[in-house]
Formats: sequence, C-alpha cells, structure tokens
Amino acid sequence: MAAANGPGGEETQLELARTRSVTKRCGTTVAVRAVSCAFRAGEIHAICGENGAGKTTLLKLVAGMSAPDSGEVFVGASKLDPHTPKEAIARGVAMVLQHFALVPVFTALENIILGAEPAGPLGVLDLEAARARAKRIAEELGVTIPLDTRVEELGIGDRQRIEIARALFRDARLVILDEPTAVLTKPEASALYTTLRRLASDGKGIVVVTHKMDEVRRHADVVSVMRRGELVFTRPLDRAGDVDAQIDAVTSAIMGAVARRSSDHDRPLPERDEATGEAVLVMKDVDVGRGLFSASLTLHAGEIVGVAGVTGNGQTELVELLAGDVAPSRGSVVAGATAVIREDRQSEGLVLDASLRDNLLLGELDRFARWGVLDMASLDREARARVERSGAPSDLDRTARSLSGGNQQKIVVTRALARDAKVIVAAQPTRGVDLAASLDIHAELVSAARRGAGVLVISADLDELRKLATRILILSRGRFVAELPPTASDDEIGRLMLGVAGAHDPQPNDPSPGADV
Amino acid sequence: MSALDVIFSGTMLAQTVRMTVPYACASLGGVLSERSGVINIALEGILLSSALAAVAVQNATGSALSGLLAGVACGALVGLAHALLVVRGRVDAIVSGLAINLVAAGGTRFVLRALYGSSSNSPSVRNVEIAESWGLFARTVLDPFVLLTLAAAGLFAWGLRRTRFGLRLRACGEDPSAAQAVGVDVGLTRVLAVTIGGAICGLGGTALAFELHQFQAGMTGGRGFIALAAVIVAGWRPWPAVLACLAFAALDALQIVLQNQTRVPSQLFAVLPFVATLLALAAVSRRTSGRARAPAGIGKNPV
Amino acid sequence: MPAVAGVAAGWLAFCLLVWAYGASPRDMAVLLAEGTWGTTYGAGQVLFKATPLLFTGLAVDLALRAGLFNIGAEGQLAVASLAAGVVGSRLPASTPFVIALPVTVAAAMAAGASWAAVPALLKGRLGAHEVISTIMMNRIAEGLVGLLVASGLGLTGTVRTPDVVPGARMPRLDAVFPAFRGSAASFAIVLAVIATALVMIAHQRSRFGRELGLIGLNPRAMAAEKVPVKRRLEQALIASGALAGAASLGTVLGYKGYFEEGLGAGAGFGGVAVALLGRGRFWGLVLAALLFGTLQQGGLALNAHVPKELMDVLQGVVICAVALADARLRDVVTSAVVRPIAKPATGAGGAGVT
Repeated sequence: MAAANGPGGEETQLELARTRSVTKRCGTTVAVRAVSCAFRAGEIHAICGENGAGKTTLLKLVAGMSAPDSGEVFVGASKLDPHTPKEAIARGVAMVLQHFALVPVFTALENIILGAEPAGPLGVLDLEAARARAKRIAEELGVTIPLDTRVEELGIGDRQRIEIARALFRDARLVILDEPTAVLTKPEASALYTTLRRLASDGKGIVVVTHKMDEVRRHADVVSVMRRGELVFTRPLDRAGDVDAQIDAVTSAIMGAVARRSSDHDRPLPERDEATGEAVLVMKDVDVGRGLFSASLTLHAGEIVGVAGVTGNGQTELVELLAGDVAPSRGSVVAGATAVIREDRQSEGLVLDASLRDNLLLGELDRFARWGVLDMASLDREARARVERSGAPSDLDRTARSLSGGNQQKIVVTRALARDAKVIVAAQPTRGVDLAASLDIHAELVSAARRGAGVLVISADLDELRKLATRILILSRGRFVAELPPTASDDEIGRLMLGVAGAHDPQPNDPSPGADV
Repeated sequence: MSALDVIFSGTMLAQTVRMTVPYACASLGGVLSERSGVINIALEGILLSSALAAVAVQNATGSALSGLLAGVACGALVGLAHALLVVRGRVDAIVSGLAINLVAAGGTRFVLRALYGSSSNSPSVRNVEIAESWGLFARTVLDPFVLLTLAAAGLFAWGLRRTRFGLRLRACGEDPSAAQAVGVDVGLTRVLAVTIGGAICGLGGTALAFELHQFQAGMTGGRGFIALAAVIVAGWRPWPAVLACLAFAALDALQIVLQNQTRVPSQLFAVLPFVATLLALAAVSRRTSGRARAPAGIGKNPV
Repeated sequence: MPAVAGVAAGWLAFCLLVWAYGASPRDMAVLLAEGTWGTTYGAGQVLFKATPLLFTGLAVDLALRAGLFNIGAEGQLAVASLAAGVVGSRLPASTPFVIALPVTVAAAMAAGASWAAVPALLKGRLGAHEVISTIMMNRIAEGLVGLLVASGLGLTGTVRTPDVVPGARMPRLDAVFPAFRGSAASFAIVLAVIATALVMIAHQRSRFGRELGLIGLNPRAMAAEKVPVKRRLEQALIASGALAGAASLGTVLGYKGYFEEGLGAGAGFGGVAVALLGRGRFWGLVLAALLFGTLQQGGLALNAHVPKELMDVLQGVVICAVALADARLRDVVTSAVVRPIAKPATGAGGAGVT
C-alpha cells in the first residue's frame, strides 16, 4: 500500500481495474458503448454524466454484477473470469449501490460480514473475531458504527458507513460508490468525502458516480465524462491550474448538444401572479405516523410550491397523506380534488405490462362503464387524446414497459393532469428522466398552474425547485423547518435541511459545520 | 373408560407425541425452504412419496433402517426437484408445488399397483424396534423418530443463527438481491435449503408409514398443508413450528378418540384439524412486522 | 410454444411410465386412441369429462388473472353439486325447463360462491394465504357434504340425494345425436363452451374483468389510483367459486340426475391444470379441457393394463412442462400470494429510493 502521490506527480499509480471497449445493451438501448477506462489506486475518480448516460451500468460491469456483451473487464492484471460479483469481490473490487445492498432485518455486523464470514470448522460463525475486525475498520475510518442494531432502524448515513465498512472487511482495494450523496445532507456529504480521501491516501482506489459538479470540483482527482453510453474523456483535474475552466469543460461535455437547448430554458419562466388564487390545500399542524410532525402548509390556486428534502425526511408520508392513502393522526387537511404523481413510477404509477391505453386511464374505468360493460369507443377516444397530449409514442397497444423512462413519466404526468384536479402533487417528477422529457414535464406543470391548479413539487433536485417554484419549503426530519425564495443558495438550503438547533445532535465523528474539505 | 379419561391418559399423550412427528418434520422442511425464500407447498407430496419409498424399500430388504434411509433420500430428491424447477427453471413455486403433489398422489398409487397389485394398500412393515419392556414414557421419548425430529429442530434453530450457511440462507430469504450483490450464490443456497428441507420432510413421511405399519394411498391426508400453516403460525421459526405441530397433532389425536366416543357425527371431528388450521391462519395473518413475519424476499429472485 | 412443450413432455412421460410398468407404449397409445376418440361413445365420454374441467378451468383462470390461486375449486364444486341436487329435487315436479334449470344452476353457483367467500374474506380482510385456506376448505367440504347427506339431505341409507325434477335435467347429447348413445355427455358441454366465450369477452370488455387483469399485473399501482384492490380480490375469488359451481351442470344435472358423494372429484385440481395449460385464451382453455378429458377417459380405457393413476402423473408432468416453457407464469402468481403475508415494516430513515 504505497503512499500515493497526488495527481500530476511523477509516479504512475497502480492500476486496479480496467475496461477494454466494453459494450452492454439493456433491451434495445445500448447503455454502454465501447468504453475503455482505467481506475487507479490512490485517487478519487469521479464519473459524471446525465441520468441514463450509462455510468451505473459501466461500473456494474467492473464490479462483476453484470456481464458485458462485448469487450473485457480486467481486475488487477488479469481478466475478470468468472464474471460474477463473488469473483470481483475476491479480487478486491467492491461496489456500494445507490439503493444499498443491505438486509434490513440483519444487524450492522451481520451485514458487514455477509459473504465473507469468519468461520470455524463446520462453518460455525466466529462472531468475536468478526466484531473485533469490524471495530478496527470503523476506527480506521474514523466513524462509529452501531454493530448490533438492525439496519432497518438506522438512518442513511449509518447505512452508507456500513456499506463502506463491508467493502473494507473484504480487503477491497477499489471501492466504487454510485451516487453516494444523492440521499445525504451537505455536512454528511462532506463527512463522506473526508472518509474517502482518507481511504485514497491509504492507497485504495475510489470511484464515485456523481452528477454534482461542486463535489467534483472539490474532491475529484480524475474526472471521466459519459454521455449516451460513450466515454467522452478521462482527465486528471489539475488543481494547480484553472479549476473553473476545467469544470466548465466537463459540464459542456456532459450536456453536449443539449446545452444549447437548455440555455433557452435558463431564462426565468415568465412572471406569474403571486398567489392570487384561493387556497386549494390547507394543512394545519398535521402529524402522520412517525414521519411527519406539526406540518402546516397552504397552497393557492395558480402557484407552484416546492418542497425540498432528501428521501427519508417525511416526503413519503406527505405524499401518502395528500393522496389519501393515510389519515393524519393529528391536525387537519382540507384539500380540493387532488391528483398525485408518485415517486416510483414503475411500481406505483404504471402497470408496466399493460398497454398504454390501460395505463392512460388507470383507475378511471368507471367513467366508461355502463352496467359493468365498457364503452370501448369512447375509451379509445380518450386514450388517444391523452397519448397525443403527452408526446409519448402513440401506439396505444404497446406496453408501458417498452417505453423509455422519460416517456413513461410523460404518461403518468398526462394522466394526473387530465383529471382537472385543483391540487397537483408531483413527487420527484423528473427523477431518472432525460433532459428533453424533463423540460416537457416542467412545461406541463407550469401550464397546469396557469390553468388554476395549485402545484406542489416535492423534489431532491434543487435546480428543479428553483426553476419551478415561487417559494421553497424545507422538509427536514418530518418538519417544515423553513420557507425560502427560489433565489436561496445551495448552502443555505443544505444547512436548513440539517434541522433546527436541538432537533439534530451532531454525531461525535461528524466534522463541525464549518470545516469544509 | 369415559372420554375424558381416555383423553388425558398417558397413552393419549404418547400417541400425540408420535403423531407430531410427521407434522413437525414437514414443518421444519417448510421452515428451511421458506426462510431461504422458496415457497414450498410440495410438503404433502414429499410426505406421501417418501412414505411409499420407505415402505417399499423395507419390504424389499427387510431392514427398517434401510427403509428410513430410503424415505429420507426420497424426500431429498423430491425437494431437489422442486428446488431445481423453481430456482433454475424459474417456475412459479406454487405451480411447481402443485404439480409435485399431483405427481406424488397419482404416482404413489401407480407404483403401489405396479409393486403390489393393489391401488390402496401395501403389505405391512415393521416399525423401528424398541424394547417393549421399557415404560411408555421411555418408549415415546426415546423413539428414534421423535429424537431425530427434536435433533433436527435444534440443529436448524442453532444453525440458522450461528453458521455461515444459516446466515446466507436467511439473507437469501430476506433480500436476495442484496445477498447476490455481496457474492452469495443465491441459487445454490436455495437449492441446498430446499433439498435439506425435503430430506427432513422425508423423515416425517417415513415415520408416518412406520407408525401405521403400511402405506395407504392418500395417507397423508392434508398433513403437509397443515404443517405449512404451522410454519406461518409459528412465524417461520423452528421450535415454535414444532410446538404448533404438537397442537395440531393433539387435535388430530383428539379427533380420533372422539370419533369413537360420542354420538356426534364423525365427519365433524374429521374436519376439526382443518377448521383449526383455518382459524389459526386467520389469527396470525394480520401480523406484518417484527421478527415473526415472513421472510421479505420470499418468492423473489435476485435482480 | 409452451402448450406444445407440455403435450410433448406428457407424451414422453406416458411412454416412459407405460414401458416401466411393463406394457407396450404403442399398444397402450392405440388403446387410448380407440377408447377415447375412436368410438362415438368414447368421444362422448371425453366431452362428458371435459365439461366440468372447462368450468373449473375457467374458474381458476379468472382467479389467476387477478393474481390469485384458487385451489379450492374441488370443494366449491362439491358444495355446489350438493346444492344442485337438493334444490333440483325440491322444486315442484312439474316446473318447466326454463325455470327449473336456471334456478338449480343459480343455486349451485351461489353455493360455490359462498364456499369461496370464506377464503376470499380471509384474504381480503386478514391477508391469509389463499392457497392454504382453499385447500383447507376442500377438506372441510368433503366432511360437510358427507355429513349433510347422511343427516337428512340424502336418501336414507345411501350417499346420494333424491332425483332432481325432470325440468332441471340437462338433456343428454344422445337425445339429439344418436351416435353418442350410451355416453354421459349432455348439452352442458355446449353451455360450457358458451360460458367460456362470454367470460373471455368479459375479461376485455367489462370493467370488472379489465380491472382484475390490471390488478393481477400490478396491484400497488391500482391501489395508488384508488381502485379498491382488496374488494376486487375478494370478488374475484367469489366469482371463481361461482364458476366452479357451474361445473355441476355436467355431472349432476347432465349425467346422474342426482348428487352422489364423490361425484366430480378431481375436477377441481384438473381445472388448475386446464387453466395453466390454457393460458387465458378461449381456444387454450377449450383444447386443454378436451385434452385432460381425453386423458381421464383414456385412463379408464387403459385401466385393465396400466393403472389409471398414470394420468394423474401425466397431469403433473404437463403442468411442469408448460410452466418451464412459459415465462409469464413465472412471477405472476407468487407475488399475489406473498404480498399479504409480508408487508415490509417501514423503518426510520428508509434507504434511498430512486
């Protein structure tokens, strides 16, 4: 484990893994196209790109979780063969997935050792040795891990630490993290990068998939850009030079041809009347189960209000409340007709294996039924009208599964907006959706507001909120802690997501808020 | 003797304990299988086919021990078939279980006729010998089947918690995607779990046949399904499952006694165990959290 | 095509088992053909056996579309048959056909529906595993029917009910087609085919049918759109029970003219095989019912040489082969069975979901 020189140093770093012209198809799309990329020890390698660019797919190939259709993956000096996660882990490659791979009912310790359990004869687990080693790893990382608590009771930050500890328990030399900060608050993200830098200094290779430029700017040693399945370039980040210019180059490489189109939309949206409409949604002091506390909010016709917060802070409960799935345990909610665009379109928004015709009219069959029999002609007419309005491919008989993420979301959005609701709740409306479709969806939401509905956008994407909303509410640990104008900065919002003083006790190993790496 | 005297007699108790064995063995097989994530409704078919295998082999060789081994082996084989269909063949576990039950039901009668010319009964076989001179208590507690069942329950309970295989098995049942991502071979683990489960279930079938000293067509009479209900009632845990089976076996034994004792029609008592199972199932199905819920990954395959 | 795979596997198993038993597969195959479609009597018997299979197959198929497994068709049919026998015999003797038959059938379907209502409600209100509850209900039905017949509903000293009134009988096929003389086939088979066609249309054209299909594919999404999923599942199981009950048309009303214990046994499980092989299509169900009807009748024809239980084994083999070949069958059912058992507990600070 040689001490690594910083990037730009004369020593070449040890190459830990490499892909040679790998291609991977997912259905009919080519997710990764002839990508050759190398990952070295001692550096933090950021892989950037838009949603759907192929970053996760590429790294899953390196981690043995899926096999390339062509090309090779090398780990160390030799090809990864057999191409399985087991083999990759044995060779020192560990990947921390975006949604984690933790068994909820197992304790932290059980999760850490799963698959690499220290055992005696007959396979009896040696829990003492396991515990001792896990503690040592946690110390080296500078973190505390509650080893005997069940993972389902732990928060996101803890879970991520467990994932990293697990990678180290297997003597991983290359640690890959997929969008690790997507669900973290700013200070948690800083703490993570402190840990990652420490690992890199110890000679490990770190690969981070991210689309957040400020993280790349602050922490990355090497940057790779992917666009539409292809590797645009891999470059070291020269901290001695003009970092801003280098980052700009990265950004334009990510956006590519879409950059021009998006700049049109950088103009602020036309002025909207400020909250002139009547209140379409009034929540007063609402508690929902163990997720939402004393929540109050008023939404007026014609306005778009944003709710910022990372998953796990009450958004799900808020959506369930407004959709009518649950009743508040305290407080009152008065709302006009509500349409909800749910977070998870694949499991809650669409019946993937049903036709577009069915999906567009999901739950509305009553309207077309007389004595139980459906009027297929008018059903078809309405479905056709909706599919044309949505901009998705217009073959009503194809299944929703055959559409891209963006088109799928368009179906869901069109359906919700067709209900002439007074309140529209959009939860993560453009998650996993390509840029072009996102713009269309945003436009739809805006025109819905113009037509007199009140729109509530719940999102972890601050840019989206800033673009759409006239005011942004911060949801943190189940409470609305602040209301900010769209002009507020990322830092302000991030700090507020931490929570009001006292509601969140800093962990002993969290860096103090002022210390940015 | 009055009904009450009979019910609470030592004979009755001993009878109950022995009758628990087929239920408990099937139940333990179900626990292993389902904890690894594979629904197993083939328990009934495994009990039936291993019962026949045990009787047939003992008839042919004259040795009860070889009959027992044959029964266990048959159970393992049928379990393996279910496992391969579900894990490798990606067949729905319920469909596979149903098919196996159908094949077992028809197949056992088929083989019965082929071997012995009768489509309902086989020739008699001896049970595993225990000295008649020992007291009832000793004979029951030291009955080899009872001992083996208890040993299995203990082994499974301990093994699931304290061995590498047990940890991986549970992981496959709770979150197969996570297990696979960290390098556990989910398919192999499940196949092993279901096969071992089949083996222990086979022990139960053997016990059933030996207890009645012959094989009768359809002799399992729904025990496999009741055992599955016991698994659910017991929260998928080995020892509670055995206890639940004890309760069901007690009902079974009660039903036999009552059939002869009172003037209430016999059919009413015959359905008693099934009604009880239904009620037990209804009572526990609400349970959705805590340690007593079903493995979250049951029926799911790694993504 | 999976159906082809099923038939091929069945044929293979047939040859293997016959050969193992010591008989000649070719001879047996010839006997099978002769005993079934070789004579008009045989053909009639095949139709007779296929009739309840088509109804139960329809029943299981309906439940399957909603993601439910109705293994209780056996018990539902038994209870319904008893009801048909009892109601049919208690009507005034001179009741005309147009009243007697529909009333009797309605009684049978209502009985089947009620029997299915127990597992349906257990599932809808309590989330109970319907596979086990329907199997339990089968066994309970056996006992209950026997009990009721012995304690007054049946003719004393027998295991049967009195004859149904003439108006409630389904005319035999041989009344119109003398070629079928001697066989038990009745016009119930015609009704079965018509019912299949109607139900298939209803799956596409009725609100209930369409909703059930969508629920079977993704109940979460349907619940999110405020469709009363649990209620629909209950209704599906109950409707399935009613359809299974209609099978008594062929056995009680078309053949014996009374109910007898054990009449129609095996049709419930056979219906599962028919539904799996038929894969939700009109011709699939009809042909599957005819196939298994052929097997059942064939088993009887071969019984002197090879045990008829061979056919039960074939049934299982065919199911396996079809399932192996059919990707769609692979995930549809399990998820519906599993969901109510294991609703994951929500933990504090759930893992990041994208």
